[in-house]
Amino acid sequence: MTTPVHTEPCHHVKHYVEGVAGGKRTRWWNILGWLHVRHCPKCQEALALLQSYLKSAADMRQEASEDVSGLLSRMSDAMTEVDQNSPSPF
Amino acid sequence: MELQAIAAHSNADHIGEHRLTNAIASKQIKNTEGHSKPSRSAFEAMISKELASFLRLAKRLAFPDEARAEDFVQDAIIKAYVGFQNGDLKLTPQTGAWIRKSIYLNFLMHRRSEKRVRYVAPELLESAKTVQPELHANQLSNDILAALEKISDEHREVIILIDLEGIEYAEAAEILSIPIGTIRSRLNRARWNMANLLRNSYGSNP
Ligand SMILES: [Zn+2]
Repeated sequence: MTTPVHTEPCHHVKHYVEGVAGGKRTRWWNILGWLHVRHCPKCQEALALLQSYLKSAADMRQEASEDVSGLLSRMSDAMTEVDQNSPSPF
Repeated sequence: MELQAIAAHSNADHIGEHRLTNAIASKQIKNTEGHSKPSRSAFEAMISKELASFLRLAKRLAFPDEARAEDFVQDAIIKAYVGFQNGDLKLTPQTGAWIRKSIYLNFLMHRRSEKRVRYVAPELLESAKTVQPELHANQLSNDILAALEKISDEHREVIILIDLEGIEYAEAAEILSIPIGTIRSRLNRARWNMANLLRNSYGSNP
């Protein structure tokens, strides 16, 4: 049985890679992180993998919204029931 | 209104077909003597605007049990409505957050009551795949749902709230009752797990 491959960036640039994948703008003091990732195939693979995941999750957020017409009508009935069970203010 | 206290109270009603009705009937509505009732139409307007997002959140938490998801939403909204009628809950931009937290607490109590390590019964998951192939038009979204089943409850929750529902870190911290720093670190670990589980779905790139 083979162990599933689990790719993560090198430890010392993990935050940098997570930031870049999340769309954070790199800053000049991250030049060392940038240089490392540029020359490290493992970090490049991890960055591409995380970017793919974040993009697919963002795409899923944009998918068509739920049909709520049935639920809305049941909610309305339930609210009427609450109204009928609540004491009159008068 | 103490949400946890209300949610715990209503957990006793979470049995049988008429639990929602019973929950409503058992609530003692405070007499709002001398005041007219708050406007139902204002509450309904807020609900109809946000209902789709409430339902989507509940469905992702309860996946693939859609009927249960609707129960979570109905229960949360009725609790909010009772609070609104009592004068305990005001309609503010935070009311939606209150309802999302209530949905999550309903889900959490249900999961605890199930006393199972895995929340989704495998046969239920299998039937959802066969009965609802159109669940998501995008195959990648189906793969994401399948990957969610393979990660821990803690990781699944932050992924659903933040990555799939777009809820802000601060609200997610409030919903899960954990510090925002924990949200950040948990989310990062969860994202690496998800990305690696989905590696094959992304094909050769990466
Ligand atoms: Zn590296």
